Amino acid sequence: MSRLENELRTAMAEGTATLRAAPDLVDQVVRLSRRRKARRLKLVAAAAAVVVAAGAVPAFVTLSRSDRSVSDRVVAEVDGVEVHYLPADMGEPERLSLKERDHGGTIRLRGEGLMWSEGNRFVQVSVYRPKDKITDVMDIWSLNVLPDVDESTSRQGYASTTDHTDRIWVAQPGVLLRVITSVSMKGEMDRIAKGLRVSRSSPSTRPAAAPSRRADDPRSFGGVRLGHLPDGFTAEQGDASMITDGIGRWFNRGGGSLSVEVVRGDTAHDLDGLREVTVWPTDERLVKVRETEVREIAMRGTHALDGRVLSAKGFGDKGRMLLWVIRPGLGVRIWASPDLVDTMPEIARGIAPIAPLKGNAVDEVRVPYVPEGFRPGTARSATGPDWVMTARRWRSPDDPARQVSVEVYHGAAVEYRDWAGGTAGVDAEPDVIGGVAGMVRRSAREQRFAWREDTGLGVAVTVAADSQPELAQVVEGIHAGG
Amino acid sequence: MTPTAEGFADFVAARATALLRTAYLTCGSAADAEDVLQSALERAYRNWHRLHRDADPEPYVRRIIVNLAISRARRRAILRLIPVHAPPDTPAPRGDVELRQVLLDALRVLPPRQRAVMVLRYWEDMTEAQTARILGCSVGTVKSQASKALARLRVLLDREVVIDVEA
Repeated sequence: MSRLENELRTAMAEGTATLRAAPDLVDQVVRLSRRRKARRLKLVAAAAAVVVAAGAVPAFVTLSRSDRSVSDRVVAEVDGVEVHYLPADMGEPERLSLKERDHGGTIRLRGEGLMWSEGNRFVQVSVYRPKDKITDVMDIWSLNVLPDVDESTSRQGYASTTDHTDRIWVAQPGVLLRVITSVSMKGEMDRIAKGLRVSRSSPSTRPAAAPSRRADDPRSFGGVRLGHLPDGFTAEQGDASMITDGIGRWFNRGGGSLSVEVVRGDTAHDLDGLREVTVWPTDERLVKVRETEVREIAMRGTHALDGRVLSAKGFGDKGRMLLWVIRPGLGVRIWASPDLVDTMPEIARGIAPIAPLKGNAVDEVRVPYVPEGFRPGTARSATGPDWVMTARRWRSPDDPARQVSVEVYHGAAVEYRDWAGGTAGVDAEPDVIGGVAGMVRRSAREQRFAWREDTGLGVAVTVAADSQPELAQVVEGIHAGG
Repeated sequence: MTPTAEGFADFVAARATALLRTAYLTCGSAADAEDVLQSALERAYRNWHRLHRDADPEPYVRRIIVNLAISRARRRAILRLIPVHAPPDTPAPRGDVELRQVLLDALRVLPPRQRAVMVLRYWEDMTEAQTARILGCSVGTVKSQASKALARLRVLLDREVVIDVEA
């Protein structure tokens, strides 16, 4: 450390020693936030929205490759990633367990790989599922695992060495892919990279609680159902996870990525709210927003917005976003990388809300067990910033104190770590009831149990304090799906 | 305080002064620093329920502060050219205190991005990789910006010394 650097540190410390934040800073910030929110709501007619929020630019939406000649045949599979293209006569692969070190020798990535080797030709495909959040090319560079870096490739959404024989990119949140070739085969790099498809998402993006209760209908998630999907897309691709501020799924085709995201709550009350993506993965902007043709959308008479997604820093095209409100509190955003933009209208046309079930049910959740003789009341609903709730109560006609209340929550809020505890109530404790792990709050009057049933779908059941067996049966019935 | 902002007040109470100091060093003025800090905290407040649930929100807020400061400086084309040629009010042998004041003034003269690199590296004690992540650039860029900034500080200091001696 030079004297200049030491003096600089000391100067900075001395120069700021007398600074103190205002005591009422929190109040100032809250007031400022409310004023800005009110102003945003008034800015209805802005022709081009520039939405800037926090996070990192996802490299997976920058991949823009026009070549779609990759076969649907799966050549090999490694750690949930399918290899669809490989140059001819490469033989059988060797399976690798990988530890990638930075320039200082520290292990920065662990993963699995396949290596094909034939004479002086070789190809290696690697899959990493890092625990640290790596969302863009900058993050990859900062790992320092590449021997050198060609900074110009960041515009294409990947990190590459200067000789273009080594490429790493973020295929999905939590999934890093890498292709290394011999110099003689670097001309095949694009096709090999384009032919990698993630068939299993990162564990970190999968629902933390129960497996999907709608496994029998892979087209349903977040309260909507996907209709017809374009060629190359399959309903089984990806698991539902949080994407920006909603629940969505990623689809891959030919190296491009497309997400369908369902947004619930006040954010999706109208188009102006829905276009304000509050949590971009990073610094993207939605620009050149225009109204689209109504006939592009599944529901006749529904207006939609279509805009271009750019990085705030100008690192190239992030594709386009199409968004619309199915009904107040339920909105959909489709975000496609440039080469999949033309599939958005077709996918949008096929998206429809899941109709509420009839009989003993709340919203789309069946309630197979209700104590005998209990009569259902009418459903009521409530919304929050990023959730909607539908509730229904069943009462005993003989004893009004005996009742079962079931609340069904949809939205990103359900994915918050403390959702179940917060919903069950103060001092809720973890418990397993009816075979389901959740949070329970017991008081002298009632027992209330909340759990995350699926990604973006939570349930809370309340019964009288002395109805423990009934609570278990109701929960078990709901979880079984009826 | 709404449930959405649960913990926000505690965070501000604990970290606002430290963040204000970072903002001051990056902006170069106390008034700008207060504005930038307030804007950054307002953004954090809007997203608090997400920020707070599984990660330390401070890096996020710091990142906004630094980038807002750079944007603001660029927008205004601020290069606060301090009158380095002006004779001191009370000519005296150079002491450490005066040297540090000159250093702070020299810091303000740096281009906004170089200034941000200096603040993150030597005030926040961040590594080059962490600095690169905050600024959204490569580690190589951080290295080169830091090197240029230090070189420039040396030049400014040397010039000041010469002027001082001549005075």
